[in-house]
Amino acid sequence: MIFVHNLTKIFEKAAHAQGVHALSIPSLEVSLGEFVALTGKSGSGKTTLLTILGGLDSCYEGEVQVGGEVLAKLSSRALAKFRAETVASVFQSFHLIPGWSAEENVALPALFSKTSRRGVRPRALQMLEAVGLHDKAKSTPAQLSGGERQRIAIARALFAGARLLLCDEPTGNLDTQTTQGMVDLLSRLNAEGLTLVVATHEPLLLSAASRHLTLAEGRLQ
Amino acid sequence: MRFWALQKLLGLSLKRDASLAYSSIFGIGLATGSLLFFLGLGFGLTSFIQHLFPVEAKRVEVKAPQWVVGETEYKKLDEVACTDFQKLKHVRALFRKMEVRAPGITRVNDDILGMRIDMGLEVMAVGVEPALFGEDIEQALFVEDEEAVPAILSTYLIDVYNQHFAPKNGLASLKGDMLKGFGFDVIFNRSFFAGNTGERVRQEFFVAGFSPKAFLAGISIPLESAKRLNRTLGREAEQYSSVVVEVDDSTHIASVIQQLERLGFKTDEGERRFVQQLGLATWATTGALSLLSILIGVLATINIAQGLSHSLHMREGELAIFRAVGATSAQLVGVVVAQAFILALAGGGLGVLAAWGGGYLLDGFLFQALGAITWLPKRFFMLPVGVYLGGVMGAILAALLGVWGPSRRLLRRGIAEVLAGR
Repeated sequence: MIFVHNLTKIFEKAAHAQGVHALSIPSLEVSLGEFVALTGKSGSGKTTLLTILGGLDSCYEGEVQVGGEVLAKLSSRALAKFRAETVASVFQSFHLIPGWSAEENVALPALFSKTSRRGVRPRALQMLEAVGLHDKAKSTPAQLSGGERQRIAIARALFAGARLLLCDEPTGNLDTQTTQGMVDLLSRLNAEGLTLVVATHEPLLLSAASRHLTLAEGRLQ
Repeated sequence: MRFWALQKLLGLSLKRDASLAYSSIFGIGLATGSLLFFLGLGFGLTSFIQHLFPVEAKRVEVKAPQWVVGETEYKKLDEVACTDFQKLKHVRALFRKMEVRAPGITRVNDDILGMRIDMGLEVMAVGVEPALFGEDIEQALFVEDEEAVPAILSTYLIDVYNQHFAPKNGLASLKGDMLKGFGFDVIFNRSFFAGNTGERVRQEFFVAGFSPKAFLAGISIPLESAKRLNRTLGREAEQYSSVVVEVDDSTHIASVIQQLERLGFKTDEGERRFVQQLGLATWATTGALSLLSILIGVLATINIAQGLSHSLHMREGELAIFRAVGATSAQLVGVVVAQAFILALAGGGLGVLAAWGGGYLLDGFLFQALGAITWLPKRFFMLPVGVYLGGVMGAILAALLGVWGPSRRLLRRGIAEVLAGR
């Protein structure tokens, strides 16, 4: 599912100053259906790696192949299609659209696809059902708890039927009980065939993952 | 992107940024409305001036007599000269005019429309070719008739009467149609100022119509009637007082004037120049106001661009999320442009309504203030439908130009960079 070779990411600094090496990964492979937990201190490069794998950051060196696509070779349009169909990202701060209902947030990817209007609502409700929030369809993010927002973000990620889910600290803002629910949800999705790469420090999630990767100063340990 | 999706995105965006939307619509409306209003005023006033001073851009009047320096005789403005004029390049038609070359008076002592009128008037008559009046008059009535000669009066005479003479003398106001058919006798070779100038000749006239092109200080009669009267009165009946030369296109007027001058004739351009200068002054004024409107438009466009650009920056995170879930840059530019289009369309429409309403109010005010003057135009504010449409199109174009650059710039930023808040 994921193949990384000689990946280097440098954050540019001001003129004449040396850039900061954010990532330096000689090799990484993730197979289809794996549940990979990515750990490391803050600033170790976890989020950077996820954004590169998710096609959200194209400024790097090396080869990154996801779902059979060499990301660096994709055009802007093809990269958008990749983000819409192959991979889905769940962010630590949810990145939901304020003022929109849960249902509208979940159905967001449909607005930019060729989906017919008729199928959108049932699919959004199905996704909300899958994350246990079918009764919150009309609620806006402001009316939802942190855990609920995170589940809405996952429901949105699942809407387009992505094969790879990238989660950045999905339980970072959740209490213990909600965390357990999130772990159960991700385990279930993985059991249904979804490949997961999750950046986390949460022991419950770590125990649910099939493989652990640790990043330190941008390098895999 | 499907239409329903675009509709949904626009609806959500406009609903959330309602205050920005309203201020943008107001700004566009103000700019478009003021521009259209001043343009409409310019068109209306120019048309009014042309109506008031019906000097056509294609016509020039050759006056007689014409003294030529170095010659002992002056050029005769007769049929020979007219034949020469007709041969000139770009000349399409000639309209001859001949004054009745003897003074005349009329005496009215009768009940007219229930009023006892007893007064004497000095009458000057000019013979003109009927075609000069065009559709202003009933052409069939305007033919030489020895029994009763048709006379066309200036429209402005009625106004002078209604505005000044009637109120001062406690007389009722007149409408042109009331006087049509009214007969009166003129005794020629008789003057209140000059006394008898020859053997008296009595001629009956009747009012055949009104025209703004008619002789202001007297009556206009058929050219043949003027010739006959001059012959009867023993006056010169071969030379014309003036000849109006009509050219095939207004751009050739200068060339024709040059040719006439080469023939030894001079043209009377005083009125033409006056009207042109008046028209230019009108356009200079309305043009300056229009420029002011354009300036308002430019400022409004900058305001719209800044507003929408600010809104885009506020939505930068949201747009990054859209891109993260699969939106292409082209789709997002499309959304932004569609939003600007809607705002501009609404603003442009508002501007059109404001301009039309302003023009309507202005007309109402002016007509009320000026009273019942017959030569007033139907409207002071005139704007062709095409200009209204042009105003809306201009507003749309300005708004699109305003958002195109900022949206392209914004979408060039990396998604991860925006989402990370860097």
